Amino acid sequence: MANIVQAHSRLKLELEELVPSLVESLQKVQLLRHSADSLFSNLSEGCLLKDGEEIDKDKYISIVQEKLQILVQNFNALQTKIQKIPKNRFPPIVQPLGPLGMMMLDQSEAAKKAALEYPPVFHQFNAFKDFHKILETYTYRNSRKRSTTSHQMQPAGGMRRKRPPRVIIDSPAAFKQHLSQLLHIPNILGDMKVQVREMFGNTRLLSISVRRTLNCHIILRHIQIERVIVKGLLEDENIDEVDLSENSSLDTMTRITEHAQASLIFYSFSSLTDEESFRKFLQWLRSYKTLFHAKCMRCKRHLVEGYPPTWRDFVTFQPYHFGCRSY
Amino acid sequence: MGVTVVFQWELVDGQTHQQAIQELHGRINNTGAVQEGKFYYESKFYQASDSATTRDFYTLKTSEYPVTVFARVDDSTKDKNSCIQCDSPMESLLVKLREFFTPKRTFEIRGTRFKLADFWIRPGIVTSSGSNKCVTIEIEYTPSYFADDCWPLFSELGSYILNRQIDDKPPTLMENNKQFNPGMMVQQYVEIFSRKATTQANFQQPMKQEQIQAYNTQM
Ligand SMILES: [Zn+2]
Repeated sequence: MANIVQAHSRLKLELEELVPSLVESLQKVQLLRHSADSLFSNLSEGCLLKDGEEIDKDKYISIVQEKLQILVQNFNALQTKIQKIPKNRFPPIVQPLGPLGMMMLDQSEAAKKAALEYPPVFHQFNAFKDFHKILETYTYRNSRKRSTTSHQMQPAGGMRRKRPPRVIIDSPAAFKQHLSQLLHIPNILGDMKVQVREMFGNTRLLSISVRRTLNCHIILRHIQIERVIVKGLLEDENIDEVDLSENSSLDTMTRITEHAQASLIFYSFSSLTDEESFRKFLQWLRSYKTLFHAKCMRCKRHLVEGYPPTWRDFVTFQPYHFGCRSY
Repeated sequence: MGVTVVFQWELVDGQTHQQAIQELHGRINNTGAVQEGKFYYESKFYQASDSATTRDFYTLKTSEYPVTVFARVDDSTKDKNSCIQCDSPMESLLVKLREFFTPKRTFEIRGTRFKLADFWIRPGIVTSSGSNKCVTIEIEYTPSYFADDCWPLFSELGSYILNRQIDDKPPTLMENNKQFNPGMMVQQYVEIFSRKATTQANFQQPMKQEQIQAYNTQM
């Protein structure tokens, strides 16, 4: 009992010494955060003021410099404050229990020392365990899982955009309407002709002919692309006679088919919605209108081993030979 | 048949046709192209017995299209490009029409064909009545049907094979977004044959002066 009273009074003393300096450090932290906030908002706004007015560049730079100086000052103040926080004067004295008590009885000095050092290590271990628990709940909350429901999925900072539900199209008329929305890309119909053939159920064949260059046949389920095959301009001109089982007889088109399949994977694994990735694919496909006259962006040549630049970058849509493409 | 362009090889002083072909084979091999069999073209010039009502014409048979005969009326206006494609029995029909159309001259082209990705390259020697006339290189690019679009490819490959600068525009008969048709290939050969006919023998159908000039600038 006397022990407990002693420990209590010690703790009280310690806290009395600690609390004022902790409060002061916290104030310093707040100051630092405030100055950092104001600096970053200044940086994100740039030279443009909220009311649309523009400030002089030199003036802007001097403002930023001033804020940076304040930030550094606040940071230094915090640092000195933290260094002044009193160290724990009283090492925790915990009576060794159980096997540790036995160690205290040991004759060797090493065992005695270990027994005395053990309690603080034990504390640290517990702190680690607590920290790990908190960390685990955070990582679990932010991890992506197919089965997680929306209330579990609430992200901490709203960083991830959720995929909206898949569009279900159940009639040819609905599809036509949806397709016209999908094709809402500036000038796309000047370069591409689109034909639709109804297949079974919700599967459709979309034949897109890119201006004087190639035909691309796409199998769609709803608006999700299932398969892509690229053929020459005069191969399978009629949409009812398209042979989807065989590749083009032209080597160039076979290569482009492979690239188109890769682009599908690229766009569908990005964070885009089905509609957006479909549109991106169409824009990528449109870039093939220059297949026969665009030079490779890397080697500045037309032909490499008899092939024109058959690769189009997925982001910039620029032409490259397959061997010259950028990573 | 994709866009096909026929170039004529200018013999260097003292070079025989055979040597020219050998040089060409070397250059074509350097591009990475591989040999794929032989090719054979045969062209006949038929002269109309009554030039007031009927026209002279050329026929062209090729090993690439064994059951087809291309026939091209020898029109003075080049852009008209009046070419017809017939089945091979056309030949026997022409034999029956001997009285109206007389076969005057036969041209043959033989050579080895090369494949480079989607290109076909056919260098060959043109012969007429047993003697070598000239060397031609035909380049076909199968995926494209518009010479305006794919001309840079021809220009790059052609200038390497021919070892000289190629015009930066396609031949006038393919220009202005015209879709390629086999008649354009026949016409290019006919132009080369008739050029030979005017320069080498005093042939019946002399080419108009401006036409020769146009042709020369074209190449
Ligand atoms: Zn390249």
